Amino acid sequence: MKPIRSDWEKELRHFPLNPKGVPAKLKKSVEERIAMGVRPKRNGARTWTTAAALMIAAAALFAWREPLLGLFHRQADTELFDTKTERSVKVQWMDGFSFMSRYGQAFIIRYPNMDVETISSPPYDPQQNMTAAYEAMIERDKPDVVYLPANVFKNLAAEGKLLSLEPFIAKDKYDLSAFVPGIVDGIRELGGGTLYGLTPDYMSEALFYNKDLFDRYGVPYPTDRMSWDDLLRLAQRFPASGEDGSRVYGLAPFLASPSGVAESAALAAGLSLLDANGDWAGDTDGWRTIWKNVFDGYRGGWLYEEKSSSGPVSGVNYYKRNPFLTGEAAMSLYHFTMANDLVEAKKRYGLADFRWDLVTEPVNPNKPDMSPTATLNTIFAIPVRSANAKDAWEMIKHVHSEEMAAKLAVQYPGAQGTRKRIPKALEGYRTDAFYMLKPDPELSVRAYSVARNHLNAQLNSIVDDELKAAIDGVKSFDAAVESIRQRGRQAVEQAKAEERSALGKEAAALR
Amino acid sequence: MKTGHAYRIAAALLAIPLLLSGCSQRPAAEPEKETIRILFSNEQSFQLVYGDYFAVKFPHLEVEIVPTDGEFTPDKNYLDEYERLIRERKPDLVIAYDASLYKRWADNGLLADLEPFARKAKFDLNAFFPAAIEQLKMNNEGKLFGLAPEFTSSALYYNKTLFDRYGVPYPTNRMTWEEVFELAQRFPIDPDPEKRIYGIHKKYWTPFDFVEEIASTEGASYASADGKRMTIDADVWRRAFNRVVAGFRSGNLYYYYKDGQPIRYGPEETKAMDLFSTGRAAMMISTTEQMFRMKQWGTGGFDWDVVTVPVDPANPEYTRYFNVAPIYAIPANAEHAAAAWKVVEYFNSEEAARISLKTSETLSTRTAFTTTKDGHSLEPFYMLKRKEESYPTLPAAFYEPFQELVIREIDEAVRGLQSADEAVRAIQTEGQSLLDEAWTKSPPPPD
Repeated sequence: MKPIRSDWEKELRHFPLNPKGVPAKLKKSVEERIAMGVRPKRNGARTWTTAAALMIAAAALFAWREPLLGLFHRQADTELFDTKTERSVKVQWMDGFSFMSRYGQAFIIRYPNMDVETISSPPYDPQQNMTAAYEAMIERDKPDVVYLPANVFKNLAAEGKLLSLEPFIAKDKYDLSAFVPGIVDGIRELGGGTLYGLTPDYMSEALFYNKDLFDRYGVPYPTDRMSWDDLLRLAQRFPASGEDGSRVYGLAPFLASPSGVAESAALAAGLSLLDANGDWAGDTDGWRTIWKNVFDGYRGGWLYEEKSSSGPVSGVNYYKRNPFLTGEAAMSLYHFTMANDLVEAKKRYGLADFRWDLVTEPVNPNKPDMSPTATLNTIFAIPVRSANAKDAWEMIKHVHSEEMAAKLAVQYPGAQGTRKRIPKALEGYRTDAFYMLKPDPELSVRAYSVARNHLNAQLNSIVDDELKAAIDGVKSFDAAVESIRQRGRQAVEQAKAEERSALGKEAAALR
Repeated sequence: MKTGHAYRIAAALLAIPLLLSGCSQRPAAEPEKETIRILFSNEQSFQLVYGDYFAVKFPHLEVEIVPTDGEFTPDKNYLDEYERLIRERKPDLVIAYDASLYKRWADNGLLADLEPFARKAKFDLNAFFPAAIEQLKMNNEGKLFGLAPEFTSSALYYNKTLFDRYGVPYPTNRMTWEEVFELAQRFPIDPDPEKRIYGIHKKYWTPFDFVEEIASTEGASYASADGKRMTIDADVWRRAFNRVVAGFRSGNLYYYYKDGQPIRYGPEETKAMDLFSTGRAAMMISTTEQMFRMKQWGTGGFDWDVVTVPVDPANPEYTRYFNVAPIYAIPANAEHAAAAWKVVEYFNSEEAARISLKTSETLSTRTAFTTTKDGHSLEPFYMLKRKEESYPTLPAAFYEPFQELVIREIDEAVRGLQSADEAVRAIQTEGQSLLDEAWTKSPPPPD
């Protein structure tokens, strides 16, 4: 009985919805259905009465098709996922054990007929084409659910190696609006307009500020969607005098070094040291202004620079390393984890005993709704050849469920969920600041570009060298900029030459 | 006329989905938010063990942990402090991992009888293994003050391939220690300790652990009931000492001390200590953990099976290894007893047992789950019942010097510097003076 029923349901979903009449196919199916249902009794008269009633109903069905289709959808939902048969679903994650404690065991609790098999992600290897490594893993281990870095996700989606989630979502009326705005759109953009995956957490920055310090120095609180210029001007208003330990910094950036601040400000301004072809692009006025601001900030002493420390990082020392937690920085750009750190440091060690709150990170004034830092790190998807796509989809729904979001908010309170679920201790703070801006999907992909990252690190160290020399008064700011431009261009060219020769060798090897 | 027509259409419309789908599931009305307090070590451990269950099965319950961790300080008697927490903080649910805690709370009238709850909910207590229910009812009132979905027990694992190779008959259920040693001795002792096959093994057992295990299987204690006199110079202890000393002297038992110091308990050592998985122990006593280890580390393909642990020939149905845990109980003064019962009922349900079968290596107290694991019968873990034991309470200052004495004396016997009987006599005499001394340091509590 069961296969027949689901077959005919499938048929029904494919009917053209013709409001002018009952399609012949439906009429026939209904009749067949009735015949099937009463076959044991063979009562002709009753069959006919029921059939007649159904015909009338079927006519009405097309007037009221919306609510009725709703019924069919719901019915499909419970029927298609089989909660009786003992079987297992295979998941690739960072490592099997942690998947089980994060999501796997809870899945079995939800569906006691299911078991979960896990395989580990291919190890990260900068020398390797990670997309190929994931493809080989999928080919070899045949997982039903995969967990892909954003760049691999983008590539596999483009190659048609992933299953679209759109039909599942439509069928289950799965509520995508429960996700933080921009997340689903961002993933869809990575999939070239089709949604091939979902992710339960991501990362972005927000601006934390110490209300006590702002009040003490009579500085107006920061606001949402400031520009980097506004932010630096605000930071400048805090006195930069005094010894370490008693002095105040206007701003502790997330990457607290000259190149780190410059890079963050450049991201918000849409600037990069490399253009689309990978050529040097640091000769612009835009970059000069950013370096000037950074130079002024460090020279003036209102920007915090991270100290290289080798001391212990456990217990109270972990918190004491962060100048915002110790009350030394008026503002800090940081990930969601710091909200939790603020609560924990106060609870455990009496640190961070001040009033604080949050606004959004600074933005590009031309794109005030985009986050310059938010990245979708890793994305759950279903390989197109998964033998158990329905089970895989059920697992993906489970991973992104309200229940799991609630559990993670308790067990991993520092993680920023894509289903906004705020840990209890953070109620009353403007944690919304983390969720107001949309992630830029391209940024997520770029974050995994190995060659680019390597060159970037080189360029950043040049920027640090030169700006520090200027800050320390060893050379003038103008001389430093000149040097950055010269050395930067050289580094880029050398990298390109190396790439060419590597390609040449590869080609030679192939020959 | 119109109304009648519409009515018929509506009726038919209602019939359609029913006809098409048989019955479709509708989400039940969401239960109201409710808070329950649970006595547990701390919030974090609770989350680790139960977070998934509460998130998925009880999303409407707000759990507040009454932590017991803070009460575990040297200046306080934690047993009294736990009871104070139950009386004052009124947890709705207590989860005891220690059977003696449960018994104490039951005997002190802190817990509610669960049978009325079970009756009302038509919760079938006959689905449980009688030995489990029996242990839970081992309290002054003989009532069921708790339910336990799982238990731990040990069994005797044996390497069939080795038994076949040396033509030794397989061990059987309910053997005595004497019989186990007879079998163990039939394996040849290779002069190279790295190649040697050991007759009977248990991870981390010292010679005295062996001796104590054998003697206490027969119910013997090395001190009198009032804790004042050493009683180790007795036949049962002498027999055990002789067996064990002979076993270590010949190399039939694995001696894991090196230069008088036990090998450290690191992950590597834990693996190296598992002589059974590597095919170098003919028999081994272990919980179901050993099955997990053999899966984890592999066995190289030998055949194995399990029988019950050795028993006291006078009480062949009992073992001191059988223990139900954790025990879920509802305090008599719980404010949300109904909600707590729902939790107890779920964790002891067939559904939860099905889940544990997949997610852990524990043994279910439900009879329907006692069959096999990975093709091996688990029956020997279920065959014996729990033996209630009462040991004399000895002063705390006694144990450390006594331990040193015992290790020294047995070592000398193993090295052939004295006989096993001489070791027993020395422990009796010197142990007595240690005991006397310890009592003068800490006088016994008034009865």
